[in-house]
Amino acid sequence: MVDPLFGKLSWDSIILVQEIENPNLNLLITSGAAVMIPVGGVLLIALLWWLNWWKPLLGWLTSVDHKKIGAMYIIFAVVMLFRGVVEGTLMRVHQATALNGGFLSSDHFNQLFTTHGTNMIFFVAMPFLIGLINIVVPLQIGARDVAFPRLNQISLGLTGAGGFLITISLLIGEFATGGWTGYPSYNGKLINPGVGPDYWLISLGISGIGSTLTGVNFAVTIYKMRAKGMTFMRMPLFTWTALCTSILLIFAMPPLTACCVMLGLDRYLDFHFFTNDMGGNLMNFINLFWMFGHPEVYILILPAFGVMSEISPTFSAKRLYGYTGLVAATMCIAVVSFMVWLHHFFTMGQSATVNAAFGIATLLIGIPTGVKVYDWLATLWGGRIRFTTPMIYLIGFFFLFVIGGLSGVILANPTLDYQLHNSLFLVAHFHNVIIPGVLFGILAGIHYWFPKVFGFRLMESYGKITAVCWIIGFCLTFLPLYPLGMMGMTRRTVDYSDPAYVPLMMVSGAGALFLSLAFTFIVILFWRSIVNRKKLAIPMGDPWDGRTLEWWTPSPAPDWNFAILPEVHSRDPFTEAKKDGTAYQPIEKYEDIELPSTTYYGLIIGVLGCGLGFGLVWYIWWMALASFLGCVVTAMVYGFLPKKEIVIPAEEVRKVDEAWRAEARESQGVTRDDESTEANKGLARPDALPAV
Amino acid sequence: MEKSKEFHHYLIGFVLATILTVIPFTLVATVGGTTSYVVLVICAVLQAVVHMRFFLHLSYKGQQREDLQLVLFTGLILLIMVAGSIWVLGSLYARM
Repeated sequence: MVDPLFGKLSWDSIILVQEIENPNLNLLITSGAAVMIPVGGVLLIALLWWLNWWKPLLGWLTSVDHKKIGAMYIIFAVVMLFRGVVEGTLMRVHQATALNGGFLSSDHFNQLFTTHGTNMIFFVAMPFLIGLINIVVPLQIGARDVAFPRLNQISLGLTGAGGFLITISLLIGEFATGGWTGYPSYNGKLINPGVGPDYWLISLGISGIGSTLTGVNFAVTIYKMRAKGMTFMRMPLFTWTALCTSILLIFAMPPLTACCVMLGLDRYLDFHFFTNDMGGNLMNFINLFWMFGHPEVYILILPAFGVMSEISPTFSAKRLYGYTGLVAATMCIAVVSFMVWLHHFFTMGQSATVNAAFGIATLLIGIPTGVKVYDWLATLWGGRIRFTTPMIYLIGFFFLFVIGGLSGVILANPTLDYQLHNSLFLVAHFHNVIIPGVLFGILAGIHYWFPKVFGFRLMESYGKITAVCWIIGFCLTFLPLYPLGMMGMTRRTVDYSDPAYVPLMMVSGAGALFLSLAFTFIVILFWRSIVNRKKLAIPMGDPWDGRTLEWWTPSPAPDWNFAILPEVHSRDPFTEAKKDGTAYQPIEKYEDIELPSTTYYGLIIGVLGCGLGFGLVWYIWWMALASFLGCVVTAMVYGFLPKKEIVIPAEEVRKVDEAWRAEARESQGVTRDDESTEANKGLARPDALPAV
Repeated sequence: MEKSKEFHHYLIGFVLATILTVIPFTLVATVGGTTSYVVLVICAVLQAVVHMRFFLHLSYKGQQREDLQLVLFTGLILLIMVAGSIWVLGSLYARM
């Protein structure tokens, strides 16, 4: 019988209370982490109060500007990355000391790997990429904003609601223990009646809806809002990958939502979709989950590929080699990614024909990916390469991602998979793809596009140290897991009795500490760069001698992105304009610009989403119902309210834009050798020797 | 001029859709059996195409071509997902 007012919630649900009543080491670690939430919250509020930042904060939260929404996604992801890195380090250190039992209890360890996986995929990697796409895509296609700015805000709100739920599970109650894939029947009501699996499925369900909406939004944006003359085959490669990712989001997220809803019905209303009796089939959960889960992998990796395709031509001052091939490879990957999901359950009893078919489909993905890697290498070849931070990430990516891809090819063979599945080899493989692939891509992308949003560069010195730390940390942590997996060590192992594992486990644990250091350096990098922002400012907007449209506007980019919408005649429009000397010519006629005004829509939906999720997890029905009705009412009210627009008069636009153009025409610009010095004010002087 | 052309378009669509509805109904009512089910499925697919072509105005030209590409892609993905699921779970069921 649940309490009508508080549901299943009681004093004992709060981790801190448990710690006081029954102190032990595991609870001390959890409550130490849990304490950070209220303490961090109070500190944040105090800081906001002290600096009087309430107003600007509210300005950001109600903004529909795609650049601000993108930045908020990325800030959210960095915060969640902190938790993910700490958890990962804790697990690695635990395993290094886990011969015949380590310091963590098995239940705690299970929660750790579950939150680590869920958090890293859904609340770190996805928000990072969606944030980058938000910032870059409208600028790259020469648009003022996304197609549905308010929907964009709602997506952010829903992602935030999911993140809130997974974070609050640290303080109140527990998280699931069944891994990030949440398979029933282990996560069914019979075996796991607690709130953990509910937290898992509801946070995923809510943020999944947000991601689907993002997919719709960006597919429409890219389809309908490209600048005049920008045909599909003139689109920058990052936009191409963003388009394919959006389409993947539209088709891949619904299976996840569906299986979350079905598992929810099983758990809440005694349905039998995934039970062992009454006609349920738990294999169908796994089937549906990976129908989402495999395209998800490519949702993550494709934009990172896009970043690499922007960085390699810019920092080698060449055209992208094999543009058509890269586009074709991207589309190929997008389609084939839907045909391989069964390789996640090779060992679950299908016929050999089925396994072989999906094994071959999986192997095929290696071909377009290989095409891409060769294209980037060929882009660098003969170019005038500058060894900047994004290039270090790119080089780390070249070596390490290829290793990850090759181990994937090994796993794609069903016969070998029978030996290696559920071993640390698999853990090594997917970290090897996701860290050098996705994370390096994201970090390189942040380094590359940060100045566009905030108007100043990130410091090269700290950037390089961070990059090197990530590369070394990754190698030390995850490469030893390959031999460990082949020695037979299974994944998700809380303790083991074979001393042969210890030396490599020690290396891996030390590597994890290196990765924590890398995260610390990210924080230092941002902090030092913000302190030095005056010296690093690049008001003219083109710090790296960029080639695509986003660099053809001042930094930070004005609310309206472009004073007049650009017209495109080639694949590298900005490079062409700089070559002709027409890039900064004055414009004769300016027009009034209409922009969507700020709105509380997304913020309200986000807060109500938190209420809905929390109410459902704890069976506080009145809260869930009230929040849900609140969402419906909000949607209706905002649906009927007339849309407000801010009109920016042509005179104001002219003032800003003419000043920028005049300054750019009069300035000398900076040569590529001085790119990372203070002389770089965001205007590129072409090299004396033209690159190939 | 333009309007009458559009009206024509809708009229053709309506007639075709009606024919494709009448055929299965008569077959099921009078003949029955496996053959009529096959015809029924074919008519249903054709009907969907007719709706897309004449009511949703999908074609090979201009902006509509992009919409058509999306529709075809959607069809492909749905086919992969549905057929794949049936195949996978069917294989599993047969071996249980």
